[in-house]
Amino acid sequence: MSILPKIMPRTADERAADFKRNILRREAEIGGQLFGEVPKGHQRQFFCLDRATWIWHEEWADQQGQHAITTRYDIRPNGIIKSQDGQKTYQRLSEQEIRNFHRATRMYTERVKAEYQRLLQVAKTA
Amino acid sequence: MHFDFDLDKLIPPLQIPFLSERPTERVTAEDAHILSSELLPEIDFKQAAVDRAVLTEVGPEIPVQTQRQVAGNVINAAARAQDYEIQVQPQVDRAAQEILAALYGAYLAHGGDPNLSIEAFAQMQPAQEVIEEKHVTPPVEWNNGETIDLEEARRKVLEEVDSEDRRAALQTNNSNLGLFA
Repeated sequence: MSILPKIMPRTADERAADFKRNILRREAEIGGQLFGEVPKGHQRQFFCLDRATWIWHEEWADQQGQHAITTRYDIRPNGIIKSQDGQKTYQRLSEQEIRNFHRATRMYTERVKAEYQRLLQVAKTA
Repeated sequence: MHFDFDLDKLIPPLQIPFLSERPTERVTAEDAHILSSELLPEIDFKQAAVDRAVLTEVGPEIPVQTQRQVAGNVINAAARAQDYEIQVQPQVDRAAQEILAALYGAYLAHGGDPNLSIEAFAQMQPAQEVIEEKHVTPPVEWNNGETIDLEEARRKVLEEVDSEDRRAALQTNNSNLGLFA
């Protein structure tokens, strides 16, 4: 299978799709590290899906089994709302949540930008 | 999952200790905007006033005392509005008036047009560019000094690395991270 890319080169669109998917995965890892130590057995991701959507996803296992919670933050012109696990009920963020959320997005952007710069540096060594 | 934990205990303090002590005695207009637009978006009157203050290049800074006064009024009004909804409209209106007066004062103090009345100041439409989501999803300053959003930054990274030799460089380096399958 590994020879396939040489026989059938991936198109620019396919590469772009791969790239976006994988860079989001990397950003999610970076974002998951913003909030201190992740509890053992947990997987935490936090990332900017697009300019108006942020996602927090956390998975863990315990004696009751496997758990996963996904929280979606929608940035709307009149405020930030969140919904969990695909539910259609939305909730406004509290004042403290807004402040913390905003700070987290700033930190995220700074660290992701640093990661981009690192990748570009590596690529330009070619 | 939510953000109501104390970030300060988990990560180093950042540059926006809003409503707390900060090294400089000033806060940015953006801070004021974020507070106003996200804490109490229902009060359009106040929203318009804040946006107008920001937009008219009052700042980029508003005096901290004014800003704190604004913040306090907004928070109090928000609490009352949440508790009693529209039944507290008179109190909310009063808070909005106080906010407007404070912002109008800041506007004039920063060289705003003295011929613009407080009524006209209040009725200015909030500018969409101020209440766009970019204030929540921060922009990225790119290498050439250009300010872009994260999605655009991703595209630029792809453009810059999507050549055969650069992909090869990434793939032979442990920095690849599987960016190209």
